[in-house]
Formats: sequence, C-alpha cells, structure tokens
Amino acid sequence: MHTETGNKAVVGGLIVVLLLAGVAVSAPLLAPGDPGRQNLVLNLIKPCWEYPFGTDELGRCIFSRVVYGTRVSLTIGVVVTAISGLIGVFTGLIAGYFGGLLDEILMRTVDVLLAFPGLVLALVLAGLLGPGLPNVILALALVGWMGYARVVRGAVMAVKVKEFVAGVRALGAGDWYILVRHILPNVLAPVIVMATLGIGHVILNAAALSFLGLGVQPPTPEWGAMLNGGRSYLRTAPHLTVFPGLAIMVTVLGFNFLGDGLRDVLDPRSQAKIPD
Amino acid sequence: MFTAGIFKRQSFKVLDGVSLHISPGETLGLVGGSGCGKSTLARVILGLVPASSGRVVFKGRELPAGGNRRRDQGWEKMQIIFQHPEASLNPRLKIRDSLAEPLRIHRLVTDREEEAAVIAGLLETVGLSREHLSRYPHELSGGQIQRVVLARILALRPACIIADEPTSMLDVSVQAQVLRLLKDIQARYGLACLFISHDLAVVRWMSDRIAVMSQGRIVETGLAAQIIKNPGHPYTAALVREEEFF
Amino acid sequence: MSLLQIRNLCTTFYTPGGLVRAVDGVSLDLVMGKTTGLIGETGCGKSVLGHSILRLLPANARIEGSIRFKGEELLCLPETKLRRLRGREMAFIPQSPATSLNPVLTIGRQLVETIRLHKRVSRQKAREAAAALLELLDLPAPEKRLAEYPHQLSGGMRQRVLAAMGVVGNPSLLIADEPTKGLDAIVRRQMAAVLRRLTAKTGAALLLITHDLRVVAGLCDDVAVMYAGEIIESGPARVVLTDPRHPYTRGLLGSLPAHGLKPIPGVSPSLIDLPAGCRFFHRCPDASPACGEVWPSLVKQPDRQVRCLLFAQGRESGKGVYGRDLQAAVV
Repeated sequence: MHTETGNKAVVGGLIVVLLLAGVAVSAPLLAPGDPGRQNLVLNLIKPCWEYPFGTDELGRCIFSRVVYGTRVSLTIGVVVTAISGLIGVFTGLIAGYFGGLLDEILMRTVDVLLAFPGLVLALVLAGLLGPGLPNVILALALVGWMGYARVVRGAVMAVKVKEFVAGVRALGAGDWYILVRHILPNVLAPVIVMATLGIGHVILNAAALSFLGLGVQPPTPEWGAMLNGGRSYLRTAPHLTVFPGLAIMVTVLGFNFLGDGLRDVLDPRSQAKIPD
Repeated sequence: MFTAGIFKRQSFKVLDGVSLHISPGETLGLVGGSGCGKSTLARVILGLVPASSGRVVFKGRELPAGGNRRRDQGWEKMQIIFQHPEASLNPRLKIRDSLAEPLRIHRLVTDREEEAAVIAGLLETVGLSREHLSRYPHELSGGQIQRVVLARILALRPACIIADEPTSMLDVSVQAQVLRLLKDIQARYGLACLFISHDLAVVRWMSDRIAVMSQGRIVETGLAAQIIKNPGHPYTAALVREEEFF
Repeated sequence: MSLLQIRNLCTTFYTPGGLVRAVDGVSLDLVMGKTTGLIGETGCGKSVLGHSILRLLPANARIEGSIRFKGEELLCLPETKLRRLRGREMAFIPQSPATSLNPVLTIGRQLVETIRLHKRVSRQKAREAAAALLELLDLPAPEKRLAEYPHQLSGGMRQRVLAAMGVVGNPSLLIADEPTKGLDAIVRRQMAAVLRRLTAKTGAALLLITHDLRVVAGLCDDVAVMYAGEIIESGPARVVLTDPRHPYTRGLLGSLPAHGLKPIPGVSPSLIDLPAGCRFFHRCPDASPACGEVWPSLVKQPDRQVRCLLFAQGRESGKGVYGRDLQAAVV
C-alpha cells in the first residue's frame, strides 16, 4: 500500500518535471513573442487573449518571460545540483571509506559550513562573486554539497563493513576499484532522492537570490528577478508577480513529489516482506 | 602454511597468542563458541584486519604489516568464504559480473569470449547453470550464492581457502550439498582449508585436524577423531557433550 | 481437547511476481502442555504459518481457513480483540534477538514495562518479578543484567530476554520462531532447557518453528514437517525422527552430519508456480511417474500422517491405474 502511494507521487512529480523540461526545450515554439522585446505603449496590460499572462512595466509579454524563465531556472537547478552532488558524493565516499584523520578534517569542515544557514552563505558568496548566472551557480553549488557528503559518508560506513567488500578485497581489488565499483552503486539511492528534492530547493534559492538583486540580472527572464521587478506593482498589477510565483511553486512541488515518491520506491524497507 | 599472533583493538584482546599451522591440502577445523574470536582470526590471516603483533606466513612469505595486501605478492592464492550469503555478493551486480571480477582484476583473460568460457567452466565446477548468470544475488538461494562465491574464488587457483561458518545460515539439506562440494573441490585441486564453525559435527566431518578456540585462545589442537574421542580441555569436553545431547 | 485448532489454513501473498502460496491447506492441533515442532527448509512457509496464527502479516497477505483458539475463531476476531490476546494469551518469541529489543532502553526497563502492561503492580514489584524471571531462564546475575543494555548481552542472553518478555503475561500458547538460529551448541542447549522449563512451569503449548532437527529431537513431543507450503508428515517427534516415512523427511535426516551428510538433490519448487502432482516429485528418490501427476493427500496411519502416494495404497486415489507403479516404487 505504501509503495502504491509512492508510485502515484512519482508519476505525478514525473509528469510535472517532464512538462517543465518540455517547456524549457521548446520555449521558442511555445512563447508567443520575444521575452525581451519592450513595448512601452502596452505596459501593465492585464491578461488577455494576446498576452495570456499580461505584460510587465516595460510592456514585455509575461507569458513568454515565464516560459523562457523555465530554461534559466531548470538550468540553474540541474547544474547546481550536479556540481554540489559531485563534490558531496566524492567527499562522502573518501571520508567514509578511508576514515581516520582525512574523515575528521572533511567532516569538521562540513559541520562548520552547515552551521551557517545555506541562503545566508549563498548571499555572502554571491555578494563577493558579483551577480550573473555563472556566479549564482557557483555560489549555490558551494553551499549545497555538505548534505550529500554527510548522507554518503553514513551510507559508505554501513556498506564497507559488509562481507562482500572484504571478499573483493581478498580477491585483490584495490581501494579505488572497491570504491567505484562496489561502494558507490550501493550508496546512490539516497543521493538520487536527495538530488531530486535538492533541485527544487536550489531553484527556490536561486529565485530568492535574484529577488534580492544578487542573482541573475535583468533583462534575463528569471522568475525570482521577475518577482522583484513586479514588487512595486503588487497592488495595481498583481499578475506581474502571481505568474512567476506560480511557476516557482509548481516547479518546486513537482520536484518534491518526485523526490518523496522516489524515496518510497527506492527504499527497500517499503517493500512488504514475506516472513521467513 | 601460516602462523598468526596477538591481535588487539582498543586495548581489548580479541585474539591472544594464537598459533596455527596448516599444511598443503590439509583441512584444519577451527571450532569455538560465538564471540570467541574465530571470525577475527580469519580476517587477520587474510590481512583484512591488522594484528597488533605476531605474523602470518603464507607459502614462505610474510603478510606485510598493517594488513596492506598487494596485488602482486601471491596473496590472492588465499581466499575466503563468509557466513552470510545475503551479504557475500554485491547486491547491485549480476552474478556474471561478480564471477568475472577476479578475472578482470588480475587480467587473467584477454577478451569477452575467453571470459565467458572461463566463467562457464567455473559454473560447471560448482554445479550452477548459465541461467543463473543474468540474475542478481537476491534472486538466488543461500546455497547457490555460496556456490557462486566458491566459483569466483576458484578462478584464482587458490592454495588455501578460509571458510568462515560457510553453512551455518543454510538449511541442513543445502548444508550437505555445499559441504560435499567444498570437500570435492578441495580434493580435486589439492586445496588447504581453514574450516571455521561452531558446529562440532560439521567440523568433524570436514577436517583432518581440529583446533578448539575459547576466549581468543587456542585451547587444544589435535587429530579430529582423537580430540572428539578424548577431549583434553574442559571446553572441548563440553562441546563434545553438547553434540551428544541431541 | 486442543488449545489451538488450525484447519485448512491458506496464506497467500500478493506480489508483483504473482500469487505466493506460502501456506497451503495446513491443519494442525496444539495441545496444552505439549511442544510441537514445525520443521522445514527456508521458504517452506513454516514462519508464515506462525505469523498467520497471530495475524502478524504484511498488508499484501490473505489468510483463509480456520484458526480456533480455545474455541474462538481468530480469523474473524477484530484487530482490537486480537491485540488483547497477543502477549496475554498468545506470545511470540521472534527470530532475531538483535533487532527485536529496543537498543536505547535497559533490559530492566523493557521487562518492567512489559510486566506492568499485563499486571497492575508497582515498579519495584515488577522489577523483582523481572529478576525472578531472568533467574528462571538461567541468566547469570539477573540483577546486573536488568541494568544493562541489549548490546551488552550475548546473542543467547538476548534470546532468553525475549523469551522472558514473551511469557510475562502467562500465555497459554507460545510461538517461538527459530529461537536457536545461529547459536552455538552450548547456548542452543541452554535455550532448549529454558524453553522446556517455561512450558513445564506454565503448562503452555509451545509451537517451535525451526530448521534445527536436533532441537526438535531434544525438545518436542510432536513434530510436523513442512515442504513447499504443505505439511508432508506429522506425528510424535520420536516416531517421526527415528522412523521417517516421507522421502523428504528421510532426506532431511540423512543430510545431518551425524547421518553421513547426504544432501537432497535439487531445490524446492517456487511457491508461485507449484507443480501439479507431489511437490517433492522432482527431488524424490522414490518417485514413480504417478507422483508427477497425482497430488497426494495426507494419509492417516496409526502413529502419524504422511502425504505420499507410497502410503496411499488401498485408498481410492492409489488404486487401479496407479496401483502397479506404486507397488514397483515400494519394492
């Protein structure tokens, strides 16, 4: 029964995520206009047939901007998660497997970094690096890897004492061979779940940075930056903020459903076992 | 063939002044209760766990200090079979890939074709069929997994196998299959074996000589038949009595 | 009169691979003061049978048939009533002592809480009762053990603590699932002695689920041998173990080290795709062609029941067409 609800969440989340990916890829086909084209005569128009989401203060088509924004947000989400996932998995693997002083140093570093709230750390980094897409990605990646490191280290410690690891060591396998071929595949399941949930989280943080003016800069169509731009028109023209806000919400929810569902599906404990 | 010495961890002695020797082709049965240190001894002998003092000598060569096994020093001629079948193979690898590991690690084959041929031969030796190759460990029974482990070890043409309670988790009928297979293979390849178990009846059936272990020490060694007929140590006597109890 | 009466019990699991018929038409009687051994190989359904009695099964399982406990039909009982029976009237001693105790609470705390769950007594009284119980179970220095945590105890000691927790409610039915698995000879003997003492003191019926024939021989009055979901032979333990009739029981005894370690060839059939005839047909040394087609029913003999066509002569199914084959097989 448990698995069934997990399956539904996976399917629901997967559909949302695939739709978003489709939108990102086919943005030029879906968007009725150029997301950057200004038309000051037609500014702050309410949603209508020609402009489904209306226009912003500079007369740009909000629908087109939201559609193109999918590209930006998904790129940030995926790239940041990939980078922090790689750093975290690598760190967790060597800390958990080799142990000793190396483990001590790496894990204390993780502890220190985790003592700061992630967004604050990202703010500081983004402030130091300056705004712009590559810098946002770098800042978010550098604050996001510690969770992966911790989870992977714990999983490695559990796997490395299993008899099959001692067995391949007796066969003559070296440390790196064991790490890559035997430990890594057995610790990936929680990482996949974490990364899926992490993409939503990163997109939210990226939007927050942009909203605060430290992230992706105008005129790039980014949802957080659009929220920022629409802030002054919250009362007079709420569609400036409602649609990018909805886009963020749907995206984050989609990834969260997918991640939570994957956790249920990938967790062997969720499978009902026949007593033996 | 080898000797082992004291092993300490966190100033707690798991093994205390253990000395053993096994001749080529011989089976030494190591019997003792739970937690007496027999599994630790197996790992020390293989160099998987470092001993705090003492030495292990295998085929005239001493195991390097700190338990660092090197690929080129002939240590692959000593292999191990573990107690828990469900943990003995990587759950994410198909049986074919688990079997191919020693061949790939030691570059014993040149291409896929040769690899497939060698694996087919190994399978036949342990009485498994090709259909098992594309399965995952959880799709096999405990007895079948122990056969896979044995087949994989044989790829390296070992001189000595350490069997650490290889059948204590198996059903009696399967235990009989696996033990007979192990004994057949031993005879066929002239393998020495350190057979570790808490079951005296099983050890008696498998072994030429028996060593009895209690609280990290070897309390008695001797020919299997003699030890059981005439136990010299109180612990051995208690074990023999238990076997007769049921 | 029997305490527990199981009639035609079937337990089926709904799995992605298909229906798993783990227990298939089992009938069994447990009597007060008697110990019944349920033996069989891994996956034969013996553990599922034990769990079915207490209805401790995952949601994808379906139980059919009849289980009467003191005349009451357990399969019709609502969950709340059943919960009251578990622990008080029926106790379960689980298989893995390592995971069945709470690692962060002392033995004393866990035992005292269990006792107070059943009897309205003071903490102090419960603690005394706990110590007395541990002493009854041969645990050395019981007072000291009460203050310890599960990880400080050996496997055998933990198993005895679990047994103690099982019997605090003075149950009339005890179900022990592999209580000696992985224990060495000396500890196994202690555990057997403890179980014997418990049943003698409480007069409870004990269902001992195990694959260890030596424990059955040392402890059980009756024995039922299970194979692929069915009981294939049952009767008094001494009779069945010294003079086994079913080829599988014979094979099982022959595979003991003391009896020459002769293996039974082959593997048990899959419980998803069961053969039409005798389930032991493919591994049976005495099989005749008829065995592959005719499903054998339990044959009542003076001292036991056997599910084998070899003993079905004179019965309707054994007559006529298959008579000759059977004769040949017996010779």
